[in-house]
Amino acid sequence: MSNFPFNSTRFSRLIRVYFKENGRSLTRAIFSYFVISLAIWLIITSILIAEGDSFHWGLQIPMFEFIAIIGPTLAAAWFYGRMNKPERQISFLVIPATHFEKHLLATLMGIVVPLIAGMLTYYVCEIICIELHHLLVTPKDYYYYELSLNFKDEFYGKPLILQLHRNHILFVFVVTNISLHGFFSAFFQFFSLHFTKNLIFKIVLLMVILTTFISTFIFMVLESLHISENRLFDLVEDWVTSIMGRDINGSETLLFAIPAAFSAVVLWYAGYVRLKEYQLQ
Amino acid sequence: MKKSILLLFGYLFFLMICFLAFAQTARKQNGYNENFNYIRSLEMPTAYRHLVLKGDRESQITVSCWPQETSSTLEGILEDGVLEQHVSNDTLYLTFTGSNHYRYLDLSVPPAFQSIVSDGIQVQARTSIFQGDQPGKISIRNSHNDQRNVLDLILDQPDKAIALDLDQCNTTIRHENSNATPPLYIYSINSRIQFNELISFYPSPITIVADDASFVSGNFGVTKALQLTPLDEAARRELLK
Repeated sequence: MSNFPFNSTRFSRLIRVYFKENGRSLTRAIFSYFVISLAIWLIITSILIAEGDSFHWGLQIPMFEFIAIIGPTLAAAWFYGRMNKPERQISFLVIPATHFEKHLLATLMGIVVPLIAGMLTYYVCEIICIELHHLLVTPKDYYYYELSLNFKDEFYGKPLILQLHRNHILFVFVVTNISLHGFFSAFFQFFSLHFTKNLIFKIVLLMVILTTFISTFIFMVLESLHISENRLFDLVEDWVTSIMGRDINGSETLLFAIPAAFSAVVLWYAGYVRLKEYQLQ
Repeated sequence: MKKSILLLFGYLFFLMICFLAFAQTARKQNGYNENFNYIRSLEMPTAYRHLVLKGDRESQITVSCWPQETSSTLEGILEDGVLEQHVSNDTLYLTFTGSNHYRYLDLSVPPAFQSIVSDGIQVQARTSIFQGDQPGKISIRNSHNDQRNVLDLILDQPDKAIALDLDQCNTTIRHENSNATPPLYIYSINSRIQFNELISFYPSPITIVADDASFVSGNFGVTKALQLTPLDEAARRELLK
């Protein structure tokens, strides 16, 4: 084993071995996820069509959040919870690969693969539901007014993912959501290397404590400086405007997206450090 | 302690320092509250409203009218059928006719144009900030001298409508009793009223009485429908009693 922590041949072999062992269960899980997602979406769409109403297009945003982001994040929690069992830990530690490769594999399978699977599931479900909707319902003008998001008209009757290049609000929304997914998944990954029992309960408790602590700190700072949180959003908007040369609607959510993405990277690295410590113990 | 945990604590500390620096920058820049370089999320009521912008006709300004978006020069806006407007010398008069179709309007101006525009916006003459700090507590402060709590008014008659004249004083309304949420009337002749989105927590109707509706702006989202009522002088005095 060379000193360099990454070797592509060895890593591809590692992935092959992983898929050989878990490929069937992984495929089954992704397929079940797709079927359940599609069923839920179809049920909601059918109810709306049956009622002669159509909030279908307004469903795209919550459905994206649930299918493409929250589902994969829960999958990451489940994955690292499963990895956390002692027998799995031992078998994982004795795999003939470097720590970096093992960590990369765990990241790939716990964070990246669920995200890609979630996105694809969402996209396929969306196409099916849109086509079904076009087939059964004629669009009426008043649908536009019922939705509270101001990009609804661009959005109408088209898959969300195809709107990203020309709809900034949507683009920032997707980037923010992916960053949050990365953050929460990396959080689970990192603490799965620290806690041994009741992983999910402990992590949720830790999240509540950290959120309380951080939000208290934020509001104390805002109160002491006599500013409202809107000023922070405005400053982000101003920066984005000065960089891009024009006002980008919805850019204030980068206030969450940037720290989330940065924290995900730091947590990922801290997890790597922890894995190395693990081996030494 | 484990190296990984130390790393995380270090990062958390770093994040806190970054946030402090960021909040401090936001406080110093005052870009939004005091320079009024752009006006955004102007809710479109049934009453008309107008803005007066003065600037170079070649400059690009963006007017977003839901559900349409127009990005255009001043000349371009003049040709747009969405808004009623006319130009006298280099001053653009925009009148937004309220309708269900255009409930929200974002008007933003890029940096190159802002300084010119900010001089021309009449609503800058006097500035008051209206802030909803928390449910049931609303304060108003003057952004010029940054003074707060010039006058405290404690509501002891929950059933009586509150009337404020922003042109007279800077006022804080404080609800001692959280259940006391009477209808709120705010009057403004020359003051600009800037709403914090937390105003949406205020459970009772809020009526803005302003001679020029463009004085009222803010980012109150879709949760609060503010009523904008131009009233005549007699009705106004009656309410202020």
